Amino acid sequence: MSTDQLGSLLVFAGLAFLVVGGGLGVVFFRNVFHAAVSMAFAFLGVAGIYFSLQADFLGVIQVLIYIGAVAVIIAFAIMLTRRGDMAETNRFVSPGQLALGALTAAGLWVALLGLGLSQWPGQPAQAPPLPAGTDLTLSLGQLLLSQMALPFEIAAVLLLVALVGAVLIAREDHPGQGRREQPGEVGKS
Amino acid sequence: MVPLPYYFALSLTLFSIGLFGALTKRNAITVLMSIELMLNAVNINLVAFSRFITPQALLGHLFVIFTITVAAAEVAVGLALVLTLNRHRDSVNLQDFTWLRG
Repeated sequence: MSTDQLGSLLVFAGLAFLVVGGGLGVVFFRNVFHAAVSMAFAFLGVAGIYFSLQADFLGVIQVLIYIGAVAVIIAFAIMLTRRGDMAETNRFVSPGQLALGALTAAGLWVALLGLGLSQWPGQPAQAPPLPAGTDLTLSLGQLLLSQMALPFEIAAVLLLVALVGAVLIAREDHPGQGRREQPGEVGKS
Repeated sequence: MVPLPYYFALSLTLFSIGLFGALTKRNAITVLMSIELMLNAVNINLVAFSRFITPQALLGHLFVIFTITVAAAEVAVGLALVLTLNRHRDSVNLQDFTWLRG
């Protein structure tokens, strides 16, 4: 193994540690805010994976959208829904359901990993090198505004609809009167 | 660059963690975060296969861009639903929402 391969393997191992560790943190931290920070680290690791795959533009938008927008909006949601006992906000379901969920996830992991690696076609083992002077971001932009212009516009409409829908769903039912009391509730604030 | 099966294994591991979280957490916000982890796992796979098999076609990259768009829309609407449920029922625990079963 050459030094170059060893280096890329080490980089991949570090990024994989960040991604998997961040993912495990989301599931196993007991405080939901810690879980959200852990998720941001996992997203950072995924951005690094994109850079290691020479998908520079995707790495940048991963950082911008996932860490800059999704992680922040989730932090807002956590603060808007917070309880007195933050330390116990990220609990598991009952042990029976927990075992079932763990079994499902582990089963999927073992089955797909076994199937994937045993049926692997063997090629391509190494990524074909990009020709010199290739600008993937340039071709991506050209593709988005020529051949993929319709999906691009549909995505824009989707974002607008989601934005309006989110505002519509999240707004107060009776503006000016504050939170609506439910029949079964007594004096909660 | 490490071989393609490494990326496949990483993506599969992250997807399984996300699936585990989505199935076993009580907090609706954590379930949304787990779904984001699963979407990211799929994105890793798309970019890796695109880079190794069709490095210049960029279709995998385009899929990732659209996935990220849909994921951002999903998290906005999902959190709006969680906030509304929290305002009406004073809870983000999914097990308090079994009346949604109909």
